[in-house]
Amino acid sequence: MKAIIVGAGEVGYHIAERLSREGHDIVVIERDAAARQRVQEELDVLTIEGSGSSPRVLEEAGIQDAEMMIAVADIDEINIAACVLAKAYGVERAIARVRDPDLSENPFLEHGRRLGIDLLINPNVVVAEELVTLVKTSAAAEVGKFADGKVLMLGLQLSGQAPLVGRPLKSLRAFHSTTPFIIVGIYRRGALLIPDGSTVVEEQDHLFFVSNRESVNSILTLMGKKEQIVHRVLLIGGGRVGLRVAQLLEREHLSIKLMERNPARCEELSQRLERTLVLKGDGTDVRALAEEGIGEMDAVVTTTDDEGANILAALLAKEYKARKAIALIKRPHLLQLLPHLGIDAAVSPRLSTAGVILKYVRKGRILSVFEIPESAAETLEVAVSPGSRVVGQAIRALGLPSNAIVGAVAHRDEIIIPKGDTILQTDDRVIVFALPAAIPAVERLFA
Amino acid sequence: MVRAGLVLNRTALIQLAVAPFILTGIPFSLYYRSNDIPALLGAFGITVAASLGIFALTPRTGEVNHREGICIVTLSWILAAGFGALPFHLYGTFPTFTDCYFEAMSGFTTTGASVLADIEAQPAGILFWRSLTHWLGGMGIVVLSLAVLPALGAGGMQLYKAEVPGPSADKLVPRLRETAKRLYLVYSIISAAEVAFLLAGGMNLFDSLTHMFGTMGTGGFSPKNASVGFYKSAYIDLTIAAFMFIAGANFLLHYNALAKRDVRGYARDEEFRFYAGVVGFCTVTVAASLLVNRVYPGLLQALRHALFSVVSIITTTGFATEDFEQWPSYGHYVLVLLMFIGGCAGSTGGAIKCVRVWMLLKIAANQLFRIIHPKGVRSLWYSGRIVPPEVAQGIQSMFVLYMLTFVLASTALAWLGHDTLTAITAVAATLGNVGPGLGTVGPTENYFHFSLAAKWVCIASMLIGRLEVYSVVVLLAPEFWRK
Repeated sequence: MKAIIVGAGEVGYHIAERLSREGHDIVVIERDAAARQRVQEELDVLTIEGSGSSPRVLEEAGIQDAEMMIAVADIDEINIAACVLAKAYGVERAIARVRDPDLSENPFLEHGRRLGIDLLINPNVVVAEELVTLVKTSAAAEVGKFADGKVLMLGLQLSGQAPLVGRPLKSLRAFHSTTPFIIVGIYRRGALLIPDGSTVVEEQDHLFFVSNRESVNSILTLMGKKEQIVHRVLLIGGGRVGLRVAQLLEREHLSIKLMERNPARCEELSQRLERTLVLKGDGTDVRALAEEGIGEMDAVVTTTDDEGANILAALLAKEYKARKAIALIKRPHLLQLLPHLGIDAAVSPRLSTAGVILKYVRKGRILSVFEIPESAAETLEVAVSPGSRVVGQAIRALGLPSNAIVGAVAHRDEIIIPKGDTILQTDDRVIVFALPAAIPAVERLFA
Repeated sequence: MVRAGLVLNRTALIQLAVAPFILTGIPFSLYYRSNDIPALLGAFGITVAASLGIFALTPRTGEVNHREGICIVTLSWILAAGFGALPFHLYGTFPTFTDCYFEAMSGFTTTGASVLADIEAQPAGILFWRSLTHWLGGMGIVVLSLAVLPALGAGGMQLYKAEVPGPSADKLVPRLRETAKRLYLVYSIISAAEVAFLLAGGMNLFDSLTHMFGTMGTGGFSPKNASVGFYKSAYIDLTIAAFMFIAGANFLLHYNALAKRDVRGYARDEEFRFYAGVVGFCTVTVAASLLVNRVYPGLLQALRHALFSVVSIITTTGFATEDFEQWPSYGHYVLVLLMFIGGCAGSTGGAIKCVRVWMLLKIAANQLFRIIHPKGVRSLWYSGRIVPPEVAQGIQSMFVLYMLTFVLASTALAWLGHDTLTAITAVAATLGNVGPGLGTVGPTENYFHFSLAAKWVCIASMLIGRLEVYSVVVLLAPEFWRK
């Protein structure tokens, strides 16, 4: 497939990198010479200097024979123009990133369909939804949902008291018979590994496991965690993301406090949020936080424009014994610091946006993809198509590479946590966890 | 940071991509019953064994960074000439290994400067390999490796950039491997066309292939002592001149013409217009000078020889039909100047390249404009685009480094006792990858009589010229190696 990506920022770079590695022909259009140069040298793609809203530049990029337009430049209007132009040139699918909620949410525009654009994606909305999921799943650092939410992949940091620590995984067999789940990956000392039965769990491990939704609680007990009902949430930062998170949480009937520094913005927030207590103040003001009972909070979410302040405020919340602290971090590569930081979870709008776009782009065999932020590993949800050579095969006989593992199989409405002899059938949905080197092989297998 | 293991690993891979080509002369050895098969097999065996050894002992994984890319490309060329010298060495073509290395480096860098006294006395397999190095070096051994070895993919752009001639390394399609394949495909198609034309002109298959290698790589090795002049045929002269001209133009234009039927691209390209203009102007004026001085009796003959020599030198091929040293001084002086200009970016030709010369002229014109209008604002335009200041600076400093290399190398030859004309033209011809110069290295003589030291000066010039100065010279900077 040939795709044109407008904008070589973090999101554009990330998508270009992924798609080009998966074997697609990618042309990147970027206005800034230095950013273009970087992509040209680091990725196996074609780059063109210019504006994505210029027909001349688009023609130079070969828009006539492109099948996909992904417009993720900094300016909303350029993205929309690029997509409208692409559609006029006959490009099959066009996706634009817009930050202005007026564009992404207006019912008249129907998420872009009124303009002929297939998808308008708002990073603030995407990341707010991800934050809400993390708030509700209080024990986990990462949450991926598959098979319409029936299968979950959770990532969590083990604590010393976990009953699991010091035991090889095969000792869990008795437990598996009542509560099906699979530990698909362990993040240990900076590297992600796929365990087998003899792998011994260590104290500082960050585990990734796949299970059905119902079993999550008993698995969390085994990990020394407890899934608790979330009541009290403190949001620090009332920008677009903070407002959005508050709106979504209000629907869940939680007790929400929102702290914002700017008095005028506080006024506006109070008019738009009915049940949220809006507080005027700084997220690193210890006394104000203590007064509002930061130690009693089930979750503290920091979403100001300053990612450094977000990390500090989240650390402070942990220091005052808040149960879970989640920070918004803009630069995706900072997420690899997460295991050392001592905060429970972090999200990046850019990475989340790229994830949603990739999921849409790959629509077809691959139904959804969840990226592990600390490494380039992915959990893929793949549909078994009728003619596929994996139909009727036992998982053991698939010839799956050693750095990939099947976490779950969704067969009609039933969720199977597979063993080696589980047989795949047409229309099954397979959830596979794969390290970067194995992703192409996994994709080929299910092609 | 430069990881030596990774550099050696990738370099060994590139040698493995080149090695099988050593064997391609064997059918001709068999046909002509020559005794060079053991030398070819031995050279192939040593190259493969040594490369596999290095490959096995060095780490495979990792993405090549910018500096490592430069190291890999330069080292690959140094080693390729070393392994490429083995057939000559094992057969005993030359008395010393320096001569073997000189001939191989001259081949790969498409220089065509020879130290071989009696070419026709050599067996077919050796001569085939000697010419084939031109064809491989013309489009580039790294580009070849990128096309055939998927393992080079990671960080391949760094390698491509360091080898492809011209100020910017353009890709034809998004994927580098596909770009490399298509470049070789276009190259092969045009090469096959030339062979067909030469066969139609009555040349045998062996001579057609070897002359095609020399033409398409803009190299200049001929299996005949008298070079293309051996055939005394206007048809062959014109065919070879036409294909030299094609090989000296940007292959991006050929690709667009062949794959996208975009023939007008030639006319739109500023560099191509400059290149064609220089060829036309020099041909006409040299022919006029030949006529006025009554070197040839007729206009057509004067034009034919002027055209062949002008194209042969500007494309940095160096085939000879006539001893242009005997021409009036205007003729051979123009040819010496053309040695500096060279072919187009993205061609198989060498030297400074038309695009840079043209851009330097434009920069100078802009400077004049600024003196006349101190408050005037004018950008540097090239083919309908603005040239960024870094690119313009890169071109200017490449020119300075090129001339500096020329000065140092020719001074070294003068120190070693060569006369001024020989010292100047020998360096101009090796640095520009042309081949023959004037004086004692003229079109009817060669470099055999040079001392060992002088030969190494020429070897270094050829390598520096082929990799366009930066990739080699930057390795000499201590800053490059600092961690």
